[in-house]
Amino acid sequence: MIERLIAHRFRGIRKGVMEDCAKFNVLVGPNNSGKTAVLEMLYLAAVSGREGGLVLEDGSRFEARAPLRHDFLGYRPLPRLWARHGQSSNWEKSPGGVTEEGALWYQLKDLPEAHPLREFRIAPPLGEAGYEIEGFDQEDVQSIALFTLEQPRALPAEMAPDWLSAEMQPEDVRLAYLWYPDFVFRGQSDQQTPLDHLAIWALEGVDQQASIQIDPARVMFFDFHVTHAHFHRRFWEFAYDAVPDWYERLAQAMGRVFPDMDEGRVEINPVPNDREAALMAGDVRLPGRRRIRIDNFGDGARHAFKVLTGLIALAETVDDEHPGLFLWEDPELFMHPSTLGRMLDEVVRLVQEHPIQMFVSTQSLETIAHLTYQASKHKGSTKDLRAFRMKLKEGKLILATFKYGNLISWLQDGMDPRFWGVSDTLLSYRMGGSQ
Amino acid sequence: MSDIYSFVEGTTDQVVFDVLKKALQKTHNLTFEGQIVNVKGKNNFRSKILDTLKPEFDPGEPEHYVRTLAFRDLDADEERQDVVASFESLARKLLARWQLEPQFSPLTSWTNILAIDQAPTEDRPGLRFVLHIADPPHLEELNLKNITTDCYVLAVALREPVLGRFAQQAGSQSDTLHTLITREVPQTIMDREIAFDEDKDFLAAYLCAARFWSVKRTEEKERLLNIVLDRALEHGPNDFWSIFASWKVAIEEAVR
Repeated sequence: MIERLIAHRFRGIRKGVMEDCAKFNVLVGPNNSGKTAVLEMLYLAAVSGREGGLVLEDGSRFEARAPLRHDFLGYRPLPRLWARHGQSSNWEKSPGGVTEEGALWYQLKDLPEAHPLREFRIAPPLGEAGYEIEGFDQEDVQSIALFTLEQPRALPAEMAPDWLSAEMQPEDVRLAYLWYPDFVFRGQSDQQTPLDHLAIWALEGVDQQASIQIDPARVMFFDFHVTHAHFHRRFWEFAYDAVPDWYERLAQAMGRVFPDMDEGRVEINPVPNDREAALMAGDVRLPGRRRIRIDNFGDGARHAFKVLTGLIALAETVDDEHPGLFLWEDPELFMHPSTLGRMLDEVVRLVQEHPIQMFVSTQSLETIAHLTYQASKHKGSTKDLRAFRMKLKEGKLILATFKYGNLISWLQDGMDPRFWGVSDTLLSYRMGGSQ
Repeated sequence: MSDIYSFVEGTTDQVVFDVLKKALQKTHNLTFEGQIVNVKGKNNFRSKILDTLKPEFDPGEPEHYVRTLAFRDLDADEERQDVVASFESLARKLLARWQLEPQFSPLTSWTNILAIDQAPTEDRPGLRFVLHIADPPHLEELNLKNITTDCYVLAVALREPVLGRFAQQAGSQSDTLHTLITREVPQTIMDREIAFDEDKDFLAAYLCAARFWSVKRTEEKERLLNIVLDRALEHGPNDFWSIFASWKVAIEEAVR
């Protein structure tokens, strides 16, 4: 489980430490307070599971990992983030290439000649006899701008900012490096040291034996783009084979979230006229009615259908050896509060019963209150909840950490944990049956 | 404008604080944001303040003051220094991450107002904590065993500008009501060996003598408190500000 995030110059965050993460984590705060950036850092580091070696100019080699070609939902990790920020999903001007041996090479010209990361390679893993090594290719050149180091001992001192080195525990960390310029923080007096041209962040786990543990292939990042997109066939093929009674479970869950869909059936079918046959779409069959494509329903139903489709599959394919990570941006998007509550019930139940860690960013008090109320209902769950109120001050990530006791106290007193500063804002909500 | 976390012990304090907040804004141009938290009993101050404030210090916003104001009664069996010590321990717990041991200091001119001023640094937030311990004007004619915010309200309510209007509504005279509330009703009850020694008992006698239930058609104590305070502010502002002078100073001290 991820317990701590230490961030250096990722997007709007110049510097920051988020610690004491739990199983359920809620990120709140004003716009541009770093919530999405935190989700993206967690996502990119956690999804990096493609083994390789970081080879520096002096020949030293460190165990490294690049992002998987496709994440749990079938997306290419960095390209999907570039696209959601309005950029090309292929990095045409990547400062690198691929060698004949299938290694990626990079030349970061903003770094001084003598810096260890000025020129480096990400090499395929060293194989043993009979082990087929998967090398990198040209597509990787345009979609990889990141590597991670697992428990990086004996790393050259120039490779981590002093403050970050002082903060992290090398024996229990996954250290991520990203060199895509638009994702590196740019401030007023910035880029004074070589490492200021890189985004670097560390994830620390609570388990000293196995670092952060999350299985890179079990990382699901759900944002509004996923709501509006079709499923990737890659995801469908995996889940259809791996998840028993997937459609039935999904239908039951949808019936609980939308009572008027009770007794309906669901299935996932190829998208017509999709030349590459790469996309799949959900269909709902209600009793006595013709099949209706889920994308013809309202946005709230689409949101619930797609998040539950993914999460049911994730829950059924994780185990203690392969724990999962669920990152969810704005659960409240398109949702009526009562539907949101029922959807959160389903999500909490799935996460609660399986080795999945969840990070949610939200602007919704209903989401905060509902997750707090859910924690109060499940015995022993109160310790599993955190809310982080965030803001950025000259790029520095400022956090206030709410545990269950803090949240319940704030909510019962009509105070709003989303605001920095005490707010006179009048609130109107109900803490379930707790009052 | 400052943000203040304010904690009060009960309903009376909440009403008084709300009235004062509006009055200070209107007549003294003193404005601040902040929602008041009613801890509902003196024993809940510690847990409520910790639950509310801990996130602000975990780790919270560097170079920023967290401003806190607490209004605490003093019961018959309590010593002021013990109350102060318990709040000091609470402040230490809030700042435990930085191993700080802040101490309250009384204000020079108000020994019932104590303050902690732990300035913020570039690494952590600061704490400005003002503690107001009830010390109302002595009501000679009443033999009260406790010291609470109800005493302040009673002091205001027994002054002529307020009592006179209640007497008028009840079809009586101020002196008559005053005697009823402070002597005759208490004596009649005590003659039957029923205890009558808390400020709340006298407020109940006030309700009764002023025919508050009949005239206002409500038995809500909050309604009585609001009317008493509003009338005092309108018809006897000097009395009002004199009696609540320490409350005003405590709020100013927190906002400062």
